[in-house]
Amino acid sequence: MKRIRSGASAALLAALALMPRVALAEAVIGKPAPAFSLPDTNGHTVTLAEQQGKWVVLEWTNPECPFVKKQYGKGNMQKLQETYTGKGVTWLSIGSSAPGKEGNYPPARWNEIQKERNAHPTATLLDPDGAVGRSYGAKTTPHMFVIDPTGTLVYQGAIDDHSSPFGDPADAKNHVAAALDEGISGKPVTTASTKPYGCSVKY
Amino acid sequence: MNIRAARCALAALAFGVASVVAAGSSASAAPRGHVAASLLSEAASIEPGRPFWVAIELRHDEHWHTYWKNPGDSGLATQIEWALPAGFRAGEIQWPFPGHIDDGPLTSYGYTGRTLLPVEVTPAADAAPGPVKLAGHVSWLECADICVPGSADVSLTVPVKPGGGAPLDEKRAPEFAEWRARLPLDGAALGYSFAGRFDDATLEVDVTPPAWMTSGVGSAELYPASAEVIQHAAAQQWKEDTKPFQIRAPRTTAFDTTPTQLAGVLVSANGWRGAGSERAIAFDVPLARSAAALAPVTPGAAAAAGPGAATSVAAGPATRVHASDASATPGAATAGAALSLPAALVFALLGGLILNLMPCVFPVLSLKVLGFVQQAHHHRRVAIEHALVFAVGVLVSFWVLAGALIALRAGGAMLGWGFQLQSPPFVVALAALFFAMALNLFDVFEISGAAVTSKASSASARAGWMGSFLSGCLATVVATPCTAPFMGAALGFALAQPAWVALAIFTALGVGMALPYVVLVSSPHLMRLIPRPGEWMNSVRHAMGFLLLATVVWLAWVLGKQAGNDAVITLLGSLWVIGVGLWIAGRWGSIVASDTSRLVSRFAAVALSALGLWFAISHIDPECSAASPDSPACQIRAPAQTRKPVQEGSTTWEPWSEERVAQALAAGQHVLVDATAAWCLSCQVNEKVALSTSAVQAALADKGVVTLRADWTHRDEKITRWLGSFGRAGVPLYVLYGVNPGGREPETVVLPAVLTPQIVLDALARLS
Repeated sequence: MKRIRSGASAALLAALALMPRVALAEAVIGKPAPAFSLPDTNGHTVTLAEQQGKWVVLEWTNPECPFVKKQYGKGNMQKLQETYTGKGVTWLSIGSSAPGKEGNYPPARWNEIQKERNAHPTATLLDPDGAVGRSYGAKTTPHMFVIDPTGTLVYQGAIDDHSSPFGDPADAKNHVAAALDEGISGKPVTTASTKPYGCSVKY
Repeated sequence: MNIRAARCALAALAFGVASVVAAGSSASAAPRGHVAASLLSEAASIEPGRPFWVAIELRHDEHWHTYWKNPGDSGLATQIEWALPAGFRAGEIQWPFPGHIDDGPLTSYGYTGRTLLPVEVTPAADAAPGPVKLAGHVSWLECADICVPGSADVSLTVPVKPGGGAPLDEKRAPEFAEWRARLPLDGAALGYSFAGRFDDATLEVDVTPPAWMTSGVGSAELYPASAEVIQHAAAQQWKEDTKPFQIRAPRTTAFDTTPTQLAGVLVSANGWRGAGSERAIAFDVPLARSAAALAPVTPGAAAAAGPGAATSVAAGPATRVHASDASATPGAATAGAALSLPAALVFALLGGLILNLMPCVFPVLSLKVLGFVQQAHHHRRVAIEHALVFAVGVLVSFWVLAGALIALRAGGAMLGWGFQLQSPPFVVALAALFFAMALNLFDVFEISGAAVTSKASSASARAGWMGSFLSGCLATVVATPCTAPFMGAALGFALAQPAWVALAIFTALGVGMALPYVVLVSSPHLMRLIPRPGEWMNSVRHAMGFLLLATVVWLAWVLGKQAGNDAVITLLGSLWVIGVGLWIAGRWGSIVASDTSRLVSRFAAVALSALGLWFAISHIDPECSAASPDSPACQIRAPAQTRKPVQEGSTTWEPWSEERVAQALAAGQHVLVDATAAWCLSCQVNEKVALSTSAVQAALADKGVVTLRADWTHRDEKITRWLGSFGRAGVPLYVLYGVNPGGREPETVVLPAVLTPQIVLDALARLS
């Protein structure tokens, strides 16, 4: 509906306006995280259920979004991925951009991009119809979710506390690292939810 | 001579021109970035220690937006870092209430078009006389389909003049006032009180209006100051049929925190101090968990339910309906309008019928009748088919116009019915089209069917249908400025409704307009009343040609009001060129000429016509057109014509503003507002036959009525909004505010859209 001001397709849009908007569901802290099953960029299917017993990080990403570029440009997201996958955490980067929108690529191109930006997630998942993004209420790129080994959501929100497309993420307080460190060492997560910031997910 | 084919070709020409105009305007996209920022001062000079207003001006390209202080689901609020002279202090950005930016399942709050973000600056108490430079670095996130961070260094220089009185910049002050009017008022200071509660799914705020607020506010929406409270993209429910008013919104469950306080802004359709007043109030209220479970907000019900009231009750879990909640949805959709749907449909049908008699439509339709006459006596079935195709043309163009209007308004543009005539290039194209049609009627040129019909008879039939279809379109397009008497209320109702209701009303309007022809041709009785074709038809055609030329004169006058004397002269020049082109086409392009001669002369005619149109349209100040109505050129020039008081007989028409109305009422004076536009014929007629008569003028003077004129010839968001507060989408509108001696709220009387001196005199006589 964003291009609603374009006069040429006005009549069509008027018809579209009659249709109810599909709302987001929202994942709730302390409740089981919504189940999913998505293909990765290498053709394997990844499900949340098979991660049982592991800590899981979901990272909604769009390589062209300035907020994502800030994280990857300074090597911050890659470092987090390396650090925590090294500790046995499953790190899943998810692209929910719809076909034709910014951040939607074929699997081969995704692999190139992940290699170019030196990313180290466990897998990169493709969610072009946005179903999984909607079930979690993923709003921005980046939007981060942390799930404990029992499948319970323990963190959702921003990557860090510096909501700007500029600056060095190293200077900010990283909420995901804090949640994982606390969670892995058996402590309750202090900051379990924050307002995510970034570009909108291109549903 | 084939009238229909001629009109077909001419309409095609007009379409071509329209697309050229569109292409021309989109070519002038911003060179870099999609948002331009600058810093403006309201004061022409400033005094030491005396606060004044500046504003960050953001100009967004089409489709691009920036964000409010709570950006909603995504985005970032615009920021400024000041670099001010020593001792100068800048306040926080004052946020005008934003609009929704809906993007699939996500909703953001922000600004499009041209936006001023006001900031109050206090100069140093010891500021030395002479110019000072205020500078800052503005940063924002600009988004359309994609997001890009933007920033700009902005500055302004303003002289310090101790004892100078800090006069306002005359050009800037009105727009500063306009944008400050969009800053939320403090709800509590205004006399409103609030109470809030929530459960796991729902947030509910009671809004108790002050005793003097006797009406509702139409509808209202909650814009929370913090992103962690409600689901931004979900539908809300506003209820105002009982007090307290109440707003309900689905809570977000994404955060593990429990809300204890809710700050935000409520934006209403009609205003919190009565119709046409400030639309936004701010509030800050403690929240408590509700003892009883709250009824859920039914998704989509507020937007889609319309008159069907029962849905919201059925949708919720029936076992736990809160006492006051069952009625949360029903009243909301219709509260702002005074009409029921069936009544609106009937008015629309009648309005459509009456449109046929309007002076702007009549010539086009008489041509149609001539077409029927030619056919009806030979082939009644063909005539009926043509009448039906004509009806389809009328309907389709009503749908396209209405759809465009609904979509543009949904996108935040403050437009009303007849908006296309607010665009000078459109007026030029229409004048050229009418001029060409007049020449056609004078037999200067013919668009003989030969080129089309020689191929196959079926093609000729199809071309004829196309002609009928296009004359339906044409009739609709020229009809819009003549808002017929019944249409004002119906259209206002339509545009305040969900899209399907609006489309139903526009459909009724189209059916009403096309009905007489369909009835005429399908009844052999009536057809017998129409004389046989003959020499009389030529006389009628020539007479209609002169009627069309009169319409051209009127359009030239409209253009003059919009774009000045030069634009009229270039229009006349272009009509001259088009005339030459069409004469060439008639002289050497007729059916008896050789193929080469026909080809060359037609090419010459098309080329000259295109040249003429290009000449006229390109000489309209490109800064000020439909594509960029908010540009500085429009802002400065347009009001210059209308801001001056106009003397008509003994009546002085002052320019309308909400402030002037309030000021006059506060001073105990009655107020009459005449909302009009140069291109609105019925407005002109009312002004001549009623408002300008000596009897009315004498009565106005006798009662000491302050007369204000709201000129809607150009796009004007304030007037559009004010019209909307009376449930209208267009002009004319006549509102008489009568002061009560008891000091109570003034009485507001809306006069009919067709005025007679007696109507006005009666209304004036009732004033105390």
